[in-house]
Amino acid sequence: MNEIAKRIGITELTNIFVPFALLLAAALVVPEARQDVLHARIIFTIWVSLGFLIPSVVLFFLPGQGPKKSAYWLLCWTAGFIAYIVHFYYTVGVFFHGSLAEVYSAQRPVIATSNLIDTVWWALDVFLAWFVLDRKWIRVQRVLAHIYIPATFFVSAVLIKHGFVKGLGIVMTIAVGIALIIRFISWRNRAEGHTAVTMAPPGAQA
Amino acid sequence: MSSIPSLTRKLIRVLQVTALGASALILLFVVVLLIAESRWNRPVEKPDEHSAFLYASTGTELMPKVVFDVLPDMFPDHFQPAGPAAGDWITQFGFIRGRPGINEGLPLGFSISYQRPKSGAPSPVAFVGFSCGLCHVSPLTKPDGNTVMVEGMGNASLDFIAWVDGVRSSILDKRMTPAAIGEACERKFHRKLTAGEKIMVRAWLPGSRRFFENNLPKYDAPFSGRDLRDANLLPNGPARTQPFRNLIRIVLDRPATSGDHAYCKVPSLYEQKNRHWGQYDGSVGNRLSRSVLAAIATGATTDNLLEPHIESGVLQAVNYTVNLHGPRYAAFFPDRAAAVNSQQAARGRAVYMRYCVDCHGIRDEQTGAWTMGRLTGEVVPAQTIGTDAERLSFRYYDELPDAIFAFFPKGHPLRPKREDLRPGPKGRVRGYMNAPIESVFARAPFLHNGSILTLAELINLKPRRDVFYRGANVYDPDDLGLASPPSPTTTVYWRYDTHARGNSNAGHDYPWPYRGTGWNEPDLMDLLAFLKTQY
Repeated sequence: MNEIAKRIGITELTNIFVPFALLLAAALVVPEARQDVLHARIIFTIWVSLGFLIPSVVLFFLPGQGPKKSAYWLLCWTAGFIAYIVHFYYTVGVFFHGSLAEVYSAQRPVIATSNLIDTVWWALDVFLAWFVLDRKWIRVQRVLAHIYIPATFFVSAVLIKHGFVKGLGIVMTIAVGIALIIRFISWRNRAEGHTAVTMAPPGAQA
Repeated sequence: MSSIPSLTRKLIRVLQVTALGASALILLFVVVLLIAESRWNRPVEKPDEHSAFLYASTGTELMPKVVFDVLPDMFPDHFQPAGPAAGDWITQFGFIRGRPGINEGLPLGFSISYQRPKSGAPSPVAFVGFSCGLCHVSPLTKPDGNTVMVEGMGNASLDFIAWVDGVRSSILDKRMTPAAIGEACERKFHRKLTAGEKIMVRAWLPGSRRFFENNLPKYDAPFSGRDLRDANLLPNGPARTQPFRNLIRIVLDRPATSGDHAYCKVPSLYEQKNRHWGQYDGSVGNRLSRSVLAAIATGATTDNLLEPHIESGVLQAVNYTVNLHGPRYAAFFPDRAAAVNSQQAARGRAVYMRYCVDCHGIRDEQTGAWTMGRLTGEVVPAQTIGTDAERLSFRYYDELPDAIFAFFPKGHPLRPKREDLRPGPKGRVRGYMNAPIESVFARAPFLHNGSILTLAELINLKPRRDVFYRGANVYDPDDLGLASPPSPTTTVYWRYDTHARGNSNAGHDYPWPYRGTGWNEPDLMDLLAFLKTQY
């Protein structure tokens, strides 16, 4: 197991797993009270995914590398991914009957391909974060993943969709923007010798 | 944390472990629920074609069965327009009463499935929808009062549009609440709603009501009570629909109220192998496409039609109609059939071969197959045949085929081919199709709009009635068609005025116009005798 994973204590686990479990359960059960169960599940699970993606990306870009921060990042990153996989299952596996042809026909190639890249890349990085020791290429791909995946969510949630998911997308955009500003300020302060904040992202080993 | 006393730390740890365990259990419960849900839509064996035709869902789930059971009791004003003395809703709207132990005793043509309306999502409780048999099995009541069921015949007594208005009125009625449904269930069945029924009723009612409310601009407010039998308010009447009105609403999202008088009788479906093109105007090729569009028009969606249970049922039901033979006159009226003079029938055959066979074809007595005529399958311009043209001139007639084609997602296995929709690459003639007339005696009423009650009138042996009454008409075995009382009764109540727009009984003056040039009564009597021998 990766060092970050080993740092996860019961407090961090409880603080993330409990809301994750309750939210995911709600996303799957509440639709039972609706006629269009599948559609509701597709919507609600992406809300949960985005709900955990936001803190994970913010934590990733915020300066600092404490063990708690890394643990929360990994837990949120994983929770968001699991919710996303459930969303992916209901979308591709059920709504589109497991047919990539249907997916590409309905979503058009750019969006369909982008979603598939999201799925594969996010799965890969979650696996690496839990089970593979730190490498430079892992850090590089993780930074790219934390740019690419939120960017696709931004396009989907803010530019294409409407309603609550758009609100979540805007929250994500603002939160990540603030995190990047903080990181930039921190970097500039360090460059000017005012502080010695470690700039390595939480995926890096101490 | 080091400042927190050890006991507190332990307590927090216990709470954390408890919370983790409880959360994990909740997730586990959800997984169990999802597994159970996948089994609600009970896997059943592929229905045989006959059962599928009579009982299988066409994706038109309407309401939970428990609601279906109690709705007429909750709103007798919507379901007994002629009053309680005129019989229950099954009688008053011309449905075919079910039999105990078969399809849970529901009237024929109602399906039971464990899928929710529109989405086809699994349901823990049964939902009621429509099967093909609803419209395409007809009661045929003999003069002696005996009624037989004719599979494949368009239901001549079913006042479906009026019944749907009754349903819409009920669902839009604010007195209808989950609690009221529960109370009605207790009154009728002496039991409370089950947990599953409560959940499904609470899920279904707001969604269904919202659907009908949102569609009021397109469908208008429903009628209820005595208005349901008023031909001025509900101009369809028994055995007729406006087949493309709902498609315009669904596919084009338009109200379809502007000048749409395209009334059509519910068609008979004998031996569908004998025709590629269907609808009276020959506008839809491929029998599966016709069934799919009929299902869409009555509530199915492109999504739920792909549910394996529904898709399989529709395909099987369609297959059933391929070789579905209509009845023989002699089987229903053996004495009258025996009394047909064979020489007269032979003379009638000669008349038929001279004036009718080119368009309609004839049964080959040797092989039993239907032999097509020289012009069978052709679409004859309305001005040539002279019958009511409203069916061909409704607004969006030209736009609809493209819209239907675009309505189905690319790659959808039930998407009609564009060349199977007309107007289109396979023709643009606005007219009526020369069709085979298997079991012609059991196709009453006649013409596409049901404006002629008997074959004797259709062939102009007898004058066509200007006004008559429709409902549960008794069969007239002499004139081959439906009898009409001189004034409305509780069972034959709907006033058909052939002067109303869309109701004209003019045209199809073959062999000759009534008492017009060439009119020959003996020949026509011979022809009618011959038609009694045809099947």
